[in-house]
Amino acid sequence: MKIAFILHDLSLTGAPKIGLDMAAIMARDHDVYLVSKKDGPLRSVAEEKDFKEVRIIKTSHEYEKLSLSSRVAQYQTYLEDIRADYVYINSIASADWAAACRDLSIPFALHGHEMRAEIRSLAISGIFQLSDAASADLIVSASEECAKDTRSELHLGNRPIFNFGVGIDCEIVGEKARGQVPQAVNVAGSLLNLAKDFGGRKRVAMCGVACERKGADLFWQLAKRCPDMDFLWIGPWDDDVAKPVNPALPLNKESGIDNLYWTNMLSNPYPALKASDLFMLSSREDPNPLVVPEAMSLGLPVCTFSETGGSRVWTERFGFSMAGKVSPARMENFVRRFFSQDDWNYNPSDLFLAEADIHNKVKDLMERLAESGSVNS
Amino acid sequence: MKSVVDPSKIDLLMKSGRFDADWYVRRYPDVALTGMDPAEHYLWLGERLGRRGNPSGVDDVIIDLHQIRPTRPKRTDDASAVLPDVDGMMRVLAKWEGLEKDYVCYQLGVERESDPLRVAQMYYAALKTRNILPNPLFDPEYYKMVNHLKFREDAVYHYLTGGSEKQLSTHRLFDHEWYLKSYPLARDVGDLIVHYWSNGYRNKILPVDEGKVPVLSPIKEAFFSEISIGKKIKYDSLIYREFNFDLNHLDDESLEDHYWSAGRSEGRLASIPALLDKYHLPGHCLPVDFDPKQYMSLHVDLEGAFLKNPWGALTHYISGGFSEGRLYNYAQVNGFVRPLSYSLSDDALASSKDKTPLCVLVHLYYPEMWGEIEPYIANIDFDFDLHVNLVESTWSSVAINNIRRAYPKAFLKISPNEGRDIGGFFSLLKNIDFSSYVAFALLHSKKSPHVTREYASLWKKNLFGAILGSRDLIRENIAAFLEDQEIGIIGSIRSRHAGIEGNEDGMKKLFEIYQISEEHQACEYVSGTMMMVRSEIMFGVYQPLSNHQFVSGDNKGIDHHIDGQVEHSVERIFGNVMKQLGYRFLWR
Repeated sequence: MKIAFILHDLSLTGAPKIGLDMAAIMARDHDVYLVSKKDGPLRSVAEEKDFKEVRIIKTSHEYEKLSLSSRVAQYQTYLEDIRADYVYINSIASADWAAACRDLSIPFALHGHEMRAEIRSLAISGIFQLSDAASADLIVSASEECAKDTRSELHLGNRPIFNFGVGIDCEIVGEKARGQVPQAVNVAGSLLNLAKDFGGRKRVAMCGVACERKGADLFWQLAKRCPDMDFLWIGPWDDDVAKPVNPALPLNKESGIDNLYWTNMLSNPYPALKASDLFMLSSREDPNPLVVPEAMSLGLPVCTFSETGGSRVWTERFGFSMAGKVSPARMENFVRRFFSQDDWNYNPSDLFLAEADIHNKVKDLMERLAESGSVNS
Repeated sequence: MKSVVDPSKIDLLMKSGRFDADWYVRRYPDVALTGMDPAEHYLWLGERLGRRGNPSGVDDVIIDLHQIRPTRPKRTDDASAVLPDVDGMMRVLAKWEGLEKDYVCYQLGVERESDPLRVAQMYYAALKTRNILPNPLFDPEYYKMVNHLKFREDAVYHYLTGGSEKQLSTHRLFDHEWYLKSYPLARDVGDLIVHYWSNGYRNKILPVDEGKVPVLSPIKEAFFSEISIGKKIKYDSLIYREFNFDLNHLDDESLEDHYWSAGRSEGRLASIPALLDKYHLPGHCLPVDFDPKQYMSLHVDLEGAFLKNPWGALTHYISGGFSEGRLYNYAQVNGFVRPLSYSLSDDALASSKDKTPLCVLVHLYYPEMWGEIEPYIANIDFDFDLHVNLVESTWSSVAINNIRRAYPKAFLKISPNEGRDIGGFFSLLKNIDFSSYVAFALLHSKKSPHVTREYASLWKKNLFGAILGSRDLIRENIAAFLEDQEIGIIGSIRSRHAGIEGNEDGMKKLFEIYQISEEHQACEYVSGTMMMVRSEIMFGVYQPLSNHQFVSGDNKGIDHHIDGQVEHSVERIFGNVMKQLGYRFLWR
């Protein structure tokens, strides 16, 4: 079976990362053609996998101002060339592929990782047409919240939506976590040696590109409230990627705090994660970030807020799920109470490992695909 | 038998298509006991009691009450049409052979009075504010209700100037039809009350059919003790033990020795007649359906004192409970408590199709109490989901560990301490798919600092026990939801409450928010908010207030736990929403 697996970009995290993992598992039984609308650092990883092809068709709205018709024409040409039997569109940001599938009568699945604001923005910008996206043979979602928003934005009514959630390869994460521990720096330029324990000071981590959506400013406020602990931002903070979007930079410039450290871009974030005592998701909105189950798989306690997005499905079962919206005061209350409790064992349970395992999830997904289209499971 | 309702009204009701006679009789089994035509019963009494004429649902067609409202039976010889002054009524009462002077004095809490006119004067003076029974078989309020008297009419006067001749119903514990089977000739004597005390009572016939109204042996003995041949019972070992529970360690022989050697001189009571004597209550005035266990269980403040010696509760009733107007059996509360015949087989579970039978919501403000709640949840032996809400200011890793150890698939949330247990439940309901469950069980870690520890403990036990008390009971409850589509909420009869207390304003607001129609605004709810709730009702309660910001309970004093907060109103609105949606309570 020839499956065209469509990513909207090739960044190292989020939907592209989980899409790549899914596609790689599908490639064990099918001919998978991996296509991205935009190049990125994940390409080298993808090229090591067992895909028939890794192709970049530069149609991303972030760089290319192409009409929908011209984009669809390119997609149709490609799909006809490879004679695709099925198309897996891995995000609504790639839903312009839906129009091509409809025209060519190729069955396709649409996997929504986005939430309401983003879906609406993509539709308003003309990236895709609602009716095309809604005609997918199978709708998949990254979380219950994504499913809810996808349903309402695409006017899906009572159509079934398969909640894939997120899945990880715990073995690979564990293996990578044994890699070299990076260094982190604070506003004064002091280094935090993550490989060492600093006199019992607790270390709270967050991961991602520092921006408003990820709550970088909220994390900064939390650090300011808790000078007796260290706070570690794993990912871009003041490098070229984060500089234009990090709302905490002016705060830290005006009133620098020395217990907040950051790593900037890392190709392997897991050693830094593992070297922390608690993972606190400070995001204002985050559909279902992979880092939550990844941190759990490394034995890290994880706290999220339920109105942030779909991570509650993990933390309600295996971590700490705070009702309502994220706030620095509530984060502080939690971390203080958490560190005042007895130590416990955070080794991931068998139940967690079974539920987080992406292989099991893809197996379920393939069964759904078989029911909805012409893919043999 | 002549109809008490205008036949044309019955005709109109039947033609309206809005009355289902078969359903009505099944729904209200007491109708069959009256022997009346169901439609006649509905127009005569059922509608006044707020009963429904057909199985109603959310989209129920409301019966046009204006069209079919029953007319009161016309009394052409209506003695009350021209009411005499109070003196006139007093004289009529004073002359009545049925006037029980001692009974009236007992109810008034005054010394015995032998002058019937003086008793009648006291009676009418007190009647302005209380319902006083001039005879154990004449209940003025009951008489007014079932015989459709106007509020300003005097029941006693009405009875004595016409009602007695018609042998109108006088008391729920005086079953005329049953009595007349024993004394068919009494049908022509007029005043059946007087006839009963002169004849039936003397022949030890109860005023009600024991087959319909359970009468306990000790009560029956006490009821007839005044006409028992020989000496009155002076000593009853069961009663002496239970009335004097400090002697419970004695065996029967030693116990009796104690009475004759010491107890008697100490003034200890050794029989029910002795108790009645002490309070000047004639034996025949004792309500024959008194049940000490039910009395105790209806009033949890008594349970601690009489749990092991239920007959001791009779002393409470006679010495104070009666005058406080306390109810003493379930029939008074609910008409009757229907024994459950539901059973939940695995086949029935399978037939619930896509729905999980139960979603258990636990609000765990006191995490150390998980150990008390967990055994009740462990009684559930079928598929269910468990959601637990902990509170930011009190959660503990120990509790979380224990919950996850016992229920690895449990969903845990930590929320601000807002809205007490109601806020906790609402927090848990935020992402729940209501349609995937048959029912919800609401539980929380109750300590209730405004009541004593013992009281709270018993309260809790009752609340938990009624819904999750045992494997079979839980299955019965779920089966009840599946088999009887009218059951909306299941709760402990001991926690049935009908008081608004300080929540009038809050309830008014909620009636508007929830659009509760006037006929469903009467207060009836499970006090303590631990119950099983049909999914549709849970959604109905949750949805309108899903975004409500409840008040924080942190650093609040005792006042915060007492009525007046919006959550106290929400606690009550469950019953109103349930009735608005066409369901009813199942009390256990």
